[in-house]
Amino acid sequence: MSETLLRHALALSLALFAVGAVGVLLRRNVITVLMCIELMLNAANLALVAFSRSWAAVDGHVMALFVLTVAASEAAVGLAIVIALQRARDTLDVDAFDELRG
Amino acid sequence: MTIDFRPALPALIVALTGVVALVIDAFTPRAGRSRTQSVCLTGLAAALLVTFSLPVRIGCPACSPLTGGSVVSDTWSVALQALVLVVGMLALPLSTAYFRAIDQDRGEQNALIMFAIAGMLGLVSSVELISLFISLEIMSVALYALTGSRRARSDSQEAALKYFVTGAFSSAFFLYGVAWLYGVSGGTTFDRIASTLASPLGGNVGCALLASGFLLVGFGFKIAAVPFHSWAPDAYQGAPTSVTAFMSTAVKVAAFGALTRVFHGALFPLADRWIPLLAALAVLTMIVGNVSALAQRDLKRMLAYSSVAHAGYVMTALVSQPPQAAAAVFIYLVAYSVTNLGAFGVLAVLAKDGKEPLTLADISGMARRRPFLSAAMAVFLVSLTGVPLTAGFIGKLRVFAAAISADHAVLALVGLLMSAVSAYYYLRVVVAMYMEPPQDEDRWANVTGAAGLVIALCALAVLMLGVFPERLFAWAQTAAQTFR
Repeated sequence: MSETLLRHALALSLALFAVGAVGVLLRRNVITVLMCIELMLNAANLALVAFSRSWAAVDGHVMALFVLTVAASEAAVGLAIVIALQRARDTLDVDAFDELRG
Repeated sequence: MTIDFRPALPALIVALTGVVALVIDAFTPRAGRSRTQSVCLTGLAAALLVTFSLPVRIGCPACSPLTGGSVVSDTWSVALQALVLVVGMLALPLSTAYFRAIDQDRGEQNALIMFAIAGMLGLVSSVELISLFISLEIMSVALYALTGSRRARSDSQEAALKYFVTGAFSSAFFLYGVAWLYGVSGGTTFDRIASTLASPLGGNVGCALLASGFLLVGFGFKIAAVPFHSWAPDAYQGAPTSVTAFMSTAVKVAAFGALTRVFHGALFPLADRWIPLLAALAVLTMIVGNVSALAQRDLKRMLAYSSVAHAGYVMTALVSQPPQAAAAVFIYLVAYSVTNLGAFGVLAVLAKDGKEPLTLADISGMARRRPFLSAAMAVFLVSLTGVPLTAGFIGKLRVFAAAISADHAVLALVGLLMSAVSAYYYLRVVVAMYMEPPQDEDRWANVTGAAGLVIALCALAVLMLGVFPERLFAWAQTAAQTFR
């Protein structure tokens, strides 16, 4: 993989990660927050695959596959929690979840 | 090409036990009581036996992760795995007692605890980035579900959501650090990373530092270091109390075990850069944790901030040289685990009819009605304060000594001052139990059976480790041999 392509891939990956991180901090809807976390994980995947190509090794590719699996299981548990909470409070706004504080 | 699976055996046994526990509960008639506690305890005992019987440091450090060698059995992993397994065995009876008291003993919590422990065992024995990340996630995902396992209560759900969102957020940071570290070194094993970082990096030093920073943020969330601690009070308060007891101890053991290995193993060539950062985080964590705990009315929340502060104490040890840092970290983790498990355990076993003591008023005058339990709680709180003749004192002694030996006396000083501050909020609970009049009616459960035995064992361990610490020092010496 050419040096330029690696640089472009990493720049895109950093941008995606930043967008995801800012989204988690600023968005108020739980589902959007979950999507932003997925964006961060996929930014890491992009970096892993790009690095893997530039090293001509497979470790990064393998890891990206594992990350996809992990992200799926994380999303399953996360959505289950969101559904349970939505039933109890009838809202998806993260600011509404303020029973625990102090 | 052969793959040596032996170092992964303890984690595999525990995970399999979790699956068996799930299946047993699925096929037995439901009387509101799970029967899997003994199965899970047996599984943990078997894993403990295997941990000790494995040949130490097997698996080849040089081979690729795809052909084995991602997890090893060395002195550090054996010591930390044993600690995690013992904490798990102590936490299970507490969990069963608590879930029975809130009438929700369905058995999934036992299986989830098993899965979390399997992740922790992988976490402390990983010497390679892929298995490290996967173990971290196995542990975390099980814990998100455990935190929300009190389904009828919306505070448990809210705690689970907050824990999940911050946990997944921090995992993403951790993974991003892993990706960049892989990019810099071209390999995922810690040996490879350390040798790459030890050689001249040229323009890549920025990338390596970026990667270390991301990893530190990821670990910072998991160990609840300030400023990454905001989830901890909410998660610890809202989670079922027995789950809090388990996750405030076992998770810290596993995360600090991995943190020590990553930073004192793989990233040690960059030590000059990350030690000042870690020292600053330690000071912040000790101050914010202790000062916030002062203002708490809720007992669980107070203990949650206290466990944030204790993460700060452990971090002070990490600024010293590898073998000494590792030994001090291990000693502190042992002392902290038995103490904190006991303290949250006392609150958990008092639960009755879905209610549990939450404030100082709830436990005032407890010494007259529950003399033994109150005495145990007093021992735990005194040990958390760090009074001599308790395990907490030994732990603090060693971490502060490690910091001083590395010319970071300021850390030890802040630690001592903050320990003095912490005496106020810990001893306030003792005063309430012993000097204030009891409530009109006795609303709390009578402690019996296995849960009582666990509390007694924890209290005994706190005192024994405090009075006769030589054995613990010897264990720590052995455990730290990995870091020569």
